[in-house]
Amino acid sequence: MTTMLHEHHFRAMNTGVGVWVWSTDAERTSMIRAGMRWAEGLFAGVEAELSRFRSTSALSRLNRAAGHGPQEISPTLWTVLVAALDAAHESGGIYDPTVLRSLEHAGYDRSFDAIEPIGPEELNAPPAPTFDAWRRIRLDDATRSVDLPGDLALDLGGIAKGWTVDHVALALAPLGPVLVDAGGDLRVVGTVDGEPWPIGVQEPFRPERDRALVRLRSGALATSSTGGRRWQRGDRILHHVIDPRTGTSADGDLYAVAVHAPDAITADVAAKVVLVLGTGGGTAYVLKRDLSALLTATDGREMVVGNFPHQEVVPHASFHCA
Amino acid sequence: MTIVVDADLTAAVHTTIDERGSETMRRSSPMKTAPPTGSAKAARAQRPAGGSAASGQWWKAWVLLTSLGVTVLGWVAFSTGEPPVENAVVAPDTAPRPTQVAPARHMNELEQTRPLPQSAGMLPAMPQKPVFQAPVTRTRRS
Repeated sequence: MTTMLHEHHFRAMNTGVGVWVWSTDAERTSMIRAGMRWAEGLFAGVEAELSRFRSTSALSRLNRAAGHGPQEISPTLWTVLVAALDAAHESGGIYDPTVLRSLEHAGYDRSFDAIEPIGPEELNAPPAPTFDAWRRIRLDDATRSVDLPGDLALDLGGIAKGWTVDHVALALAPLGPVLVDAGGDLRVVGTVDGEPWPIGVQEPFRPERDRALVRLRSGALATSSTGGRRWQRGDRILHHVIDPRTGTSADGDLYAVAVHAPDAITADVAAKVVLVLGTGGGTAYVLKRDLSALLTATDGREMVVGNFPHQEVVPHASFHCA
Repeated sequence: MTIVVDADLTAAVHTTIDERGSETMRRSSPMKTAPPTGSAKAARAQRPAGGSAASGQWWKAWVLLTSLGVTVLGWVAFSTGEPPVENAVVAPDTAPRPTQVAPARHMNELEQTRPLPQSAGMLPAMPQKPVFQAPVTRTRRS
């Protein structure tokens, strides 16, 4: 019996995407390759539909139509928007898909590669915090339409990526054990001869290194950090994780959070929420939902929350909280 | 060990038992071994005369010793021509064991080898046990 690893890499959603599928049946090779091409097409399609950086995307059209009454939207946008509003509800509003205006005011108003790393401070007044504003969005299941208030705009970047990762992993799973990774948001379904997938966990302060190894038998991993996408305006260091309670970049005690969850959407949302909440609230959030996480504080301290399936953590200033 | 006996020697001497039960030896054909030398004739002349029984014992001993010598010479000549059977059998057992087991291990590797797809970029190491010898990918900050 010959076991084959099929692997496909491409770029989508402004990040690198990898898809791995194991197969013990050579006759499935053509199906797997077709499945990988389908996966690449799906990522491209979701990006075209949900990117806030594309003026022609369904999301951009909806944002432009904010305040103009109910708008019928595409099935994909509907599905991801419903998932985002569920996450907002489940996190008590800490995850908020309506922070786009605050994010743009902070300087993240174009693709990150095009952002000036250092610039003058924004003189215009910041928009009012949108905490709990997501509750004002009206959905109509019958017509699949959305009524978006005029002062809100949606950003579905992170959760759209997680949704696509989950969708591809589940769709390809009948062909064999599968791993899908989109910029660090990853999902596995199935194992190879019962052996877990080894996944490196990036060292937060030295991103070229791994600080831990996760042996993933199922579920998803996602990592969020305030150190990745950051820029300077005036004398302020800003980043892309907005605290909806303040409308500005989160200013907690955590620098990076890696979360293990049953699916990529949950992992992606939880990583951002914990980063905003900080060590105290973040730990409670993880434990209450039976997730697990690896936290790194801004001072370098590390904390394992729950049963995070890791090994070989660099043994410095770490402690365990279960 | 194989001992080769010259067929001519068996034809050279026949031992028969007569009706009286006395053992006699007679020459039925010329011996192809070296004939008696002059010194041998002299030695034979010095033997006690008239003893037929004693003379038969001498011939018997002489033939046995000669045939034994020829046999030894033949064996030596044979052994230089090809290796002893015993050596041929022992040789494989003394060969290095890795050489003997290498083919089986190689087959095992072939059965578990993962063919690389054309689109392969980063791959873990070859899959013995465990399947993965390095992280497949990494979760990184976003």
